[in-house]
Amino acid sequence: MQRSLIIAMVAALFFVPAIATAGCDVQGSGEVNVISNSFPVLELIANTMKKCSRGDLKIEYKLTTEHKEETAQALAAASSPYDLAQGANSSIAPLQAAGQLQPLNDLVAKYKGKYNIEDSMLIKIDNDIMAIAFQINCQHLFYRKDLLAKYNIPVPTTYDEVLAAAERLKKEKAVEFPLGGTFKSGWNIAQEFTNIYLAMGGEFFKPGTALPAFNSEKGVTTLELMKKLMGYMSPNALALDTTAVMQQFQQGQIAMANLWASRAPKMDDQAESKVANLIEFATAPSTVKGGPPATTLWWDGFFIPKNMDGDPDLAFQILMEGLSEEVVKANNDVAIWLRSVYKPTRYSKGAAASAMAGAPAYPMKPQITMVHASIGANIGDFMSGKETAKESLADAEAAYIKGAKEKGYIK
Amino acid sequence: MKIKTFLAFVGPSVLAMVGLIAVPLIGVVYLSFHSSYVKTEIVEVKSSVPLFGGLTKTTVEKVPQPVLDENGEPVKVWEYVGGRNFDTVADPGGLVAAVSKDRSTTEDGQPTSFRQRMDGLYRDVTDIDFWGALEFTLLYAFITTPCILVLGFLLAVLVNSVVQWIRGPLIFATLLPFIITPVVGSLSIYWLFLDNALVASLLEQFGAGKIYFLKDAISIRTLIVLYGVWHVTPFAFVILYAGLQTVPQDALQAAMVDGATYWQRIRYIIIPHLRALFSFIILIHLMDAYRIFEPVLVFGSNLFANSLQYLTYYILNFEDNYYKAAASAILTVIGICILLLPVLRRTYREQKGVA
Amino acid sequence: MTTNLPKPLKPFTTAFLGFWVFLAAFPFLWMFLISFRAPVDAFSFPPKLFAPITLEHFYTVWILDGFWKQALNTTIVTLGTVTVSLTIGCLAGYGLSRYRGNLGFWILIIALVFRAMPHVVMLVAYKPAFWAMGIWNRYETLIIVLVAINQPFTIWMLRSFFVNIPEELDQAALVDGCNRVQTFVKVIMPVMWPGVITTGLFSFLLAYNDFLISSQLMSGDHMTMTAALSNYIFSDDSLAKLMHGVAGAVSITIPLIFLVLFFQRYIVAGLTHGAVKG
Repeated sequence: MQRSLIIAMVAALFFVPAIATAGCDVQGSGEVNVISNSFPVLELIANTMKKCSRGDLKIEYKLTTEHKEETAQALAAASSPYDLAQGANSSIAPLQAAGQLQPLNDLVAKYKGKYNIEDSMLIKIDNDIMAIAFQINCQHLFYRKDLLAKYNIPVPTTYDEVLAAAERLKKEKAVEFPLGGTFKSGWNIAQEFTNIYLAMGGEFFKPGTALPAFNSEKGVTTLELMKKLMGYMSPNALALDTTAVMQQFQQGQIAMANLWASRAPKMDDQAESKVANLIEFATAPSTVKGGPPATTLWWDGFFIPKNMDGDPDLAFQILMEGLSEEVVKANNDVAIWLRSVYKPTRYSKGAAASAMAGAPAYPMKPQITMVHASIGANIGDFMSGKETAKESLADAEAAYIKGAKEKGYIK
Repeated sequence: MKIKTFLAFVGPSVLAMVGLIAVPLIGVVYLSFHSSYVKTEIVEVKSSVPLFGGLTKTTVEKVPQPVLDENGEPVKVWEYVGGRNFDTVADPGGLVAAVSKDRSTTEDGQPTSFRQRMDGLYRDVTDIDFWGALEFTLLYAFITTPCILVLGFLLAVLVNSVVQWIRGPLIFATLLPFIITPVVGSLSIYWLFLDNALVASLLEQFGAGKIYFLKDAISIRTLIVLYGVWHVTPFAFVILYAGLQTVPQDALQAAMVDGATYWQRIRYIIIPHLRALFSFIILIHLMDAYRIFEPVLVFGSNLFANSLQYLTYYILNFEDNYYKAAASAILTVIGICILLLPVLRRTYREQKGVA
Repeated sequence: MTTNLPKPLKPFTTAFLGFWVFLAAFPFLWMFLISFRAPVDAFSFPPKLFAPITLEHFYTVWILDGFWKQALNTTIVTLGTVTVSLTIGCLAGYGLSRYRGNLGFWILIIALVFRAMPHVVMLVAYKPAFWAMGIWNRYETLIIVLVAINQPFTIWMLRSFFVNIPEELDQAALVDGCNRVQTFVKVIMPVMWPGVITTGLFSFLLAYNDFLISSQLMSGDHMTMTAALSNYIFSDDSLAKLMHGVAGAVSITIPLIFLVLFFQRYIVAGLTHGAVKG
């Protein structure tokens, strides 16, 4: 056992660079620096990009969970050390609003044929292509099919049905907690608020302004629903992040949760889960019968900073090498890819169904990150019973107004 | 030693401290009175994003967009804002409102008890981030200090009473929580108290019922305080243990001859002898407790327990606002100066006496 | 001192010390144990005392993720910090112990105030400044920052060691024709080794254990082990990633355990020195 491990290590060290140069056709020379978040599909893209390195072409790729802050600071500096950066709905908007991104129209036109750049990969703001997206992700319903079948509960499609199913499971003592939820105070709980609030038809801003509108009746209804849901969760819910909820699922302690599509494949992993193959995926519940699913679609993509010091053409080619059709074909199950060669699997079912049922995209407005942060920092006070729903929303509103004034979004 | 020689000797060290502590402090003061942003205006923007399976969604919305100058570059505003950042952080208006709010009746008109009024006051004051963070920081400092003194002293006396050969391994085990990386130490504790982790599960199996340690402010704060005691007690122990070695034997012998009991010897000879050490431990621990950071980060709940250092870190990184972070930092510094003033005056007198 | 406890307290002593040792060591032991387990067993409910052993997490962290780079960074940063800290700290400590004027006293008092500064305060200034100067994410920058932050403690401690070396030694050397620098290098430093080792250990611990500053000033391939831990622990990416974090945490802990084993005497001496004598 030990010898084979050592051989494997040695092999890994020696052979990875050997396969490297195959199949990368990039014109030009110089250095390309990339920064992105750190999760499996990005690790894959990073390794693919790095394979383009050769004598006159150096590729440095930095994977870090603090990419958002670092990117924001790099793009605000005189010259950005990064030539390519990864972002999503929420992070791209403030950068675009500060005029820090390069439009990619010319580059897309130039390489459209070579890399088969599809329209569904383009993030456009007005007529400018600001980013190239590669995957989508959203939260949707995960459920224990064995438990629902056992008690003859239909798969819930609305939150009323979720609550009814939870009540039933609780009565039957079928499972430790009927529900799980990504309710960790901060970013996670604000994301759930956004999902439900938008599905209720709520507005974050007064029309045509950056003034807040979420301290509203619908906001209060959203919070009340969330509190009802929390009643069926672990009392620790406000401290549990996605991984913790996933782990509750895998240990067989919960029966339903609204979780990220990207987590689905791991539910069947025997090394992590005691309930492998017992979990099924469906559309995110809606708040009213026939309404849109209470979830928001996120895309992940790459953009080129305006203040980069390298060659945009070169950086763009490296980017497209990393997102090529071959990469998608060879790694179909790693993500829900946007390219049309992607073959949907069991694990993308919930996300696909949610998108088809009309789930909105996460708002792409520069102020939304501040709203998200203010809500995340304040509604926990209501959820933990310290304040009324109205009070906590008023606190969030006040926090947002202060922040938006400092950034000059409102006068 | 001549002053010139002295300056040459301390030069590099003083330069490092001035350059990387004093000058940055001045810089932080400067930042705290300013603000900057990119000038924006609200315009109608059409944006399209991918959905799934080749579909795209196009929306038209009014969104803030950058104002560009004649070169097409965004206009950046840099301005002096006076005390605005301080006002945002400390929110004196909110504080005054919280203190002066009329709490004599409940919402349905019932008169409130004193207890209810105090609860309401406490809740409203700590609801402001800065005061909430200050509250827990001080709470942590003042609860852990006596605990580590008592526990550390107890350990020192007990270790000092056992046979020699076992003392080495004892000291080794005792030092672990103090020496090991705080973030790792916090995590090792956290991993015991998670939902499915060892302590909760064992307690449940032994019939203590299911306990949720991350449930509310009281349980999380208790965990952080317990972590603090666990982490710092070895420090107090080691110092007091070393101090015990210097207790004058003849005084103890004399006391025994006079028939003093064990407790009397502890009370009248040992504790007075260690007095300077106790105040040294308090000084160092107050400084360290005031900048508690890792456990708040790891136990991950600024909802239930926040600290001043974590608050500034949060503003700096997650609100991405240097100027507000600077104001928060300055308030933190003012706080530690007030806290340390009595201790510093003491040190001043003592050192003055020596020199 | 007279160590005899009253008789009835003897069993209490054993029980209490045993309990304490258990408390002090158990969280680390448990962390070691689960770092060799598959995720499903590590946080299993109900908990398992025995479970299949796997080296997978360590393999992923060290070989696939290249944690050895982080280990190398930690080595560079800690060695750099310890060397520079001790060099300038010894000079200052010696100067402070031999100079009689008021200035030395004030330097010490101000250093004490600096010792109390929460590190995030300076960080607010470091980030924009280092970014503008283009010296962000460099070993030299982190080293000099850690040196400066640690100077107040270093000079206080070294001074208290120097104070214990009788000034007659200096006088004799000076009379023999040495100048101050020669005296310092040839006469004083050779008898200072215990103090230097003790202080060095504390500088080492500061640099090695620092999370806040290191995680903010360094990134990517330049991160130290402690800072890089955040990529595993706080990424909320997957359970496997969390387990890699556990393996990383264990990897960080092991050198420290050896450090305590080898240098226990010096650590204790260092902790007690300033307090007991100075």
